This record gives sequence, C-alpha cells and structure tokens, in this order.
Amino acid sequence: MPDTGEVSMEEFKLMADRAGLGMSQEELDDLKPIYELYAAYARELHTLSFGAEEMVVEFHPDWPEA
Amino acid sequence: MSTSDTQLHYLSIRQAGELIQRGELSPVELTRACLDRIQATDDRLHSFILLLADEALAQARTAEAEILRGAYRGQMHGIPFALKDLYDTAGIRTTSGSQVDIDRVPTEDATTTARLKAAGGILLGKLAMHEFALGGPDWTTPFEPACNPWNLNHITGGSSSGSGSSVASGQCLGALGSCTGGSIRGPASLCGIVGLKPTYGRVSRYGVVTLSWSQDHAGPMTRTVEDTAYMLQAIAGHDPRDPTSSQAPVPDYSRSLREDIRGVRIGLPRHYFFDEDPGVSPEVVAKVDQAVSVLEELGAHVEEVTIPSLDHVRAANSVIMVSEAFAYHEPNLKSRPQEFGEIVRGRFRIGGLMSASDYLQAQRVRTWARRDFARVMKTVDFLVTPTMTQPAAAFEGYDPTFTVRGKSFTAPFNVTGLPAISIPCGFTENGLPIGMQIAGKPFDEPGVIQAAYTYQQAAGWHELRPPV
Repeated sequence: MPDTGEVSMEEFKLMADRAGLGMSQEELDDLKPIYELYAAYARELHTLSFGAEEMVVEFHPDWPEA
Repeated sequence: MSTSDTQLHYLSIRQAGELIQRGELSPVELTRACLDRIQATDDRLHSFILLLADEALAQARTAEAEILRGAYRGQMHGIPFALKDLYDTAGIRTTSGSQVDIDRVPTEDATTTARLKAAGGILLGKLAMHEFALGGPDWTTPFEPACNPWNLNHITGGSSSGSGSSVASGQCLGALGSCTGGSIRGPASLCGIVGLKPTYGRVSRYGVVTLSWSQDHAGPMTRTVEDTAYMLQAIAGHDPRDPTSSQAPVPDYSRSLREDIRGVRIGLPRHYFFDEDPGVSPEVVAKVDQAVSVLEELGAHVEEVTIPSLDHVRAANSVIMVSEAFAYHEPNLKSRPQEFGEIVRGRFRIGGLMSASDYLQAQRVRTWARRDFARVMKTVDFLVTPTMTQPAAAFEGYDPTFTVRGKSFTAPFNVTGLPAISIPCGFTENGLPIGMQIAGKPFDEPGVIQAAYTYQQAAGWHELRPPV
C-alpha cells in the first residue's frame, strides 16, 4: 500500500492536544478528513527543494520605528 | 435578466457623481433609493448584517449641503456605499460575521473607512460575509448567508458575500471587500460585477480584521470598471499604521478609463487555467476563451506562457492562510471555541496543527512563485484567466470543503501580491455569471483598469441586471 502520509486518529489526537486545542472525540472525527486535505498541501510543499538558499527568513537589524 | 434602466439605485458611481456634481441629483434622493431597494430585496438576499438608515440619511443631508455651497469633494461625494463587516467603523458594531465579535464596537475607523468618509461617501451599512473571511455559507454563525441575485438558490461566493449580492442587486453603488485567497474576485465573478484586488501594500489593511497578515488585501467591488477606479482612488495610498503599506505614489486612475489595448501583450497560462480538469467547468473556460478573442480583436497580442510554480501556489496560500489565522485567533479559539461557526473553527484549528517547517516551506514556495511570475511578466503586460473554476454552486448539497479542494484561480495573485481584477464576461446556460481575471505587474492598477475597461466597453455585460 502506498504511503499516503495520513496520520492515525491516535496521532491526530496527540497533535491536537499538543496544540492545546481541547477537542472532543466527535470534533476530532469531524476535523481529521479536512486536516488531511491541508496536510496533503504541506507534504506537497516539502517535495520541493530549494537547497540552502535563504529565500524568506530575513531579519533586519535596524531598530523599528517606535 | 434585463438590460439596465434609469432606476436611481442602478446608477453607476460615475453617472450618479456627474448628476450630483451638476446639482441634478440629491445625495438624499439617491440614498433613499438605495434604502428602498434594500427594503424591497434584503429579506431574500441577506446582504446586510447592519443597516444604518438614519445615519446614512444624515450623512447624505450633510453632503447635499456641502455640495450646494460649492464644496464638492469629488467622485465619491454623496455616493452610497457599504462595507464588508470586517472593516472597522468607529462606534458601529463590527462582527466579522461571527458570534465571537458579536458585541465588538471599534473606537476608530479603518483607514479605508475613514478615507471613503473623507471623500464624501455615504455609509449605508455593514455587509454579510463568511465568518472571519474564510470557509463558506455556515448556518452555525449568527447571520443568514447572502444569496446570489441571479438565482437565490445559489451562493454568492465569498468571503465578501454581502458585498457581491448588494452591489449586483443595486442595494448600493459600491462596496469594499477583502481578499486572502480570492474573496473579492470570487464573489465579483459569481455575482456578475467587477472586483479588484490591488497590489499588496497599495491599500491599507489597518482596521481590517486579519485573516492572514501577509496575504490579506482590501479592495473595491462595483458594477463597472470606472467605478472601481473611483473607489480605488479614494482608498489607495500610504498608511503609516499598516506596516506593509507601500510608499509608491498613487496615480490618477481615471486617466486609465480609455478604450485602448492595441499592442498590449497578454499571457495565457493555459497549462493551469485552461486545460481540461475535472474540477474546472468547461463552460467557464469556453466563455473566457471567447473573451480573450475579443481582446485580440481589440488589438491585444495573445501568447501562451508557462509558470511552473502555479502548480504549488494553492498549497502555499492554504498553509500560510491557516497558520497566520491560527496565530491571530488562538486566544479566542482556545478560550471560547463554541462561539466560532463549525467551518471556521475547524479551519483555524488546522492552522494550529501546521508545523513551523510547513509555514516556512510555504513562504519559500511563495518566494519562488514571485520570481517565476516576475520572469513571465517581463515578457507580457497582463495575464488573463478565468476568475473561478466553477459558476456559483447551489446551496442545496453545497460541500464546504469545495474551497479547499482542487485548483484556485485567484490564490496565485494573493501569494504573489500582484494586482488582479475580475470582470463579467458572460453567463452559463442557466443564467449564472462568469468572470474573467486580468492580472498585472506590481502597482500597475492603471494598466489593469484600462484593459478591463476596454473589454467592458466592447462586451457590455455590465449593463445586464439580475432578476431579483
């Protein structure tokens, strides 16, 4: 069976608890299918490789205006 | 559908402004006409969350007095407009369509609200929207979803749902929407009106309730392209209270209202927007192809372009959106989750399940996409595409995950920040509107407006009215 990357309900509950979402089992059941759609997007993004190029993480050392 | 008539509530901002300036139309008379129209239709359309009838008439009387004494302020003076209910209005409840903010009364106006007021606009009220600008029609929120004036059994699209229905039905002459993945152009397309998402930084986000800081845009929704130009003129420009506001000078957008696209280079990214796809309506694509032929007949050079990053910008838009939304809404999401509607509560919670690595990778993809689009935009002036993958869906059987699945034709321009407009380009066999999207280079709103205006004048779709 191909690896779909889907998480088990047990893993999903752990993730939700860790994020402090305080969800009931019914809410977890309802949310998991939609989460999988977003998780698939995230996995798709991670298939792209940009090497070590610094593309977005920027810090400007000047003080912000008060 | 019917062709346009001389009813006051269907006057364009341009037409009404000219009459008001000449003293041939009173802002009070025009405001009353809009209020009468709202009274006659909003029990079916549900465009308005809050109607400000007395306040609007008072503003109209003030505008009338100013104009009578020669203090005419410009095109928006005395023009009735309305705001999506996430634009802050001082002393007036601003709910974002949510029980969470049901009693929220801002103490100051959003910059855009203040600018429209300063231009002399008459605020009619606050408009329906998808809760916190995400999701879809949700009967677990406090307000009825807005209905499409072309067919009341169909959605308006969103999240600027009330903006779409109110402008299309003649309840107001123009409205502001907000857009993070397509929330201005989507309802504009599905309701048969014009919607402009300006360049990121062109219009202040200050006082507009956040969905995703780095992708939120504010912009006008109107019945004609020229009216979009007039509303944009009123709201565009630097705002020191918005950290991402641009200092770029604001041009005179009315100078773009010329019918001329001869020699303009139009790029068609067929591989993403026009190729056969089970999630894309062939009827929509065919109508936009016909509109592209009209642009060619008007003198534009059309060529196919390839933008490889397009296949991934939807993913980047979605991951960035829910991650930033969770960061903004986390306190309320944890302390009173039951006050969110079911759809948005779930989407925002998903933002809390994305990792830092997911978010950063999405931002890296975004950087790649900006470079990719910049490369292509060196060879063409505009990109032309369908605005939406489908015409307006029916409420019955509507799948709220529809907006998460498949392609998005609007999100690429939120990810890249490029200006993009939707204009009507025809109807389905069932009489539902179809929109064409024209996107330009950063801060080339003048070019986008001119191209859209030229097409509008040739095609005339803006003159048709819904049956409501």
